[in-house]
Amino acid sequence: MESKLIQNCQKGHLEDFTGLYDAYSKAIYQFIYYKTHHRETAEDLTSLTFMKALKGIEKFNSDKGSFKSWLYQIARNNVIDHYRSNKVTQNLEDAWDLKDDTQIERDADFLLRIEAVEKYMKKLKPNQREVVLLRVWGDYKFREIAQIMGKSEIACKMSFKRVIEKLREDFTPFMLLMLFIK
Amino acid sequence: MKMNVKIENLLEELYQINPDFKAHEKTLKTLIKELLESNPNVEMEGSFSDLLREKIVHKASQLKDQKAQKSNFNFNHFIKQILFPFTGGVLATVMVISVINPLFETGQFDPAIISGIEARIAEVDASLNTCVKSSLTLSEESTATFYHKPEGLQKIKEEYLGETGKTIHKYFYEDEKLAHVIHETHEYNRPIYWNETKATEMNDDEFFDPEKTVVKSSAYYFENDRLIQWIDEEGAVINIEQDITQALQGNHLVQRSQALIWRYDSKKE
Repeated sequence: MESKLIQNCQKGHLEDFTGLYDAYSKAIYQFIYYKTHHRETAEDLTSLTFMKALKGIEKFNSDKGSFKSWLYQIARNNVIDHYRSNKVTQNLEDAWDLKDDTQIERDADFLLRIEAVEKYMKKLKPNQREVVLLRVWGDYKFREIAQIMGKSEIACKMSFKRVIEKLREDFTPFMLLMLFIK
Repeated sequence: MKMNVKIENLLEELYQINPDFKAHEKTLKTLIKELLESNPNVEMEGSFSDLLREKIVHKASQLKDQKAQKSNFNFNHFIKQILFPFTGGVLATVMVISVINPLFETGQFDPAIISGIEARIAEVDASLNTCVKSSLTLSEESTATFYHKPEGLQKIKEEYLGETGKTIHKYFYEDEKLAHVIHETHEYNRPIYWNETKATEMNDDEFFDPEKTVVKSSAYYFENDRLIQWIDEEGAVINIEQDITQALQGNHLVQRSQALIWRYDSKKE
């Protein structure tokens, strides 16, 4: 079904792109939100992602990877470009690395929600965070994460393993402290 | 899926990747629980989703039109520049006529018809104040304004507002038939949000200035839903009999106008 929609779009029947939008819009929005922590920014970048995909679908080549991976790559690049266009954030790839005193807007309810894990997540590299967020928050299978990230399934599993090891090392003293307080 | 099941599944997966993790089950359980509990579970707002969908439909239609025009131009170029020298004018002419015959007729247009249409446009524009005006939102960035008189639809102004410019189609009607279309493109010197502050911040010596907008305009004339004349944005009158692009473009504008009327009517109902 998906490949048919893509083929139709590539033949010029761009009205079929709405089928692809319906299939991926929610996931792409979430993916961008997890990287920007701000609803309006996520909306703008989701919009930009689908507009770029629509314009560029003719050039999409399924031999080089899945459509899903291609779409996520556009979204990922848009987030990076978004931060690069701002002097304060030009070296960042996502909002997790923003400093506390930054003026960049982030949703207060989201910050409250991630308070417990933020300090651990900040220690990870952006692509490591991506694996953990896709697996734990997104509930994607490793097969799907591999497609999204354009890597092999085994590489994603290994990356997840390393992330959990790192998080566990950082988390243990905190947990012991909590047990002591209790 | 319940939280405990999710935790168990993730743990099981981790043990498969590295059985040594089992020794840290308690820590991992707490860690995974923390991660899962922090999930903001964000959902895209329905209104945004709908608007974006509509914007995509609009953009898809625009791109499709552009592509059709381009491929028709290429075909035309092929006919004029390659096919003529190799197969002779007569053969090519026969081919062109056989291909495009369903799209337009090759009769001479009557200059009187054109001046009649122009008089009609002037009449419509002069009487817009007496028309019933109604607007229709087509997408987040585009609207259509309809001008009606008791005797029927007079004009539609379709406007698409982008960050780097806007496009306007003005459709004029006579006896409920499309008579004329003006297509305008307004190209801004910088995106509309590119103010002085933004320009300074980005080391740009120019900012958005409406005075620097470049406006290009093309005019199309119709008779019985058939394009009979096109004056392009350079002001050149195209020889309609030698260019099938015009026929296709005319066809497209008629359909576009009909689609707008259909959307307006279905909204009204």
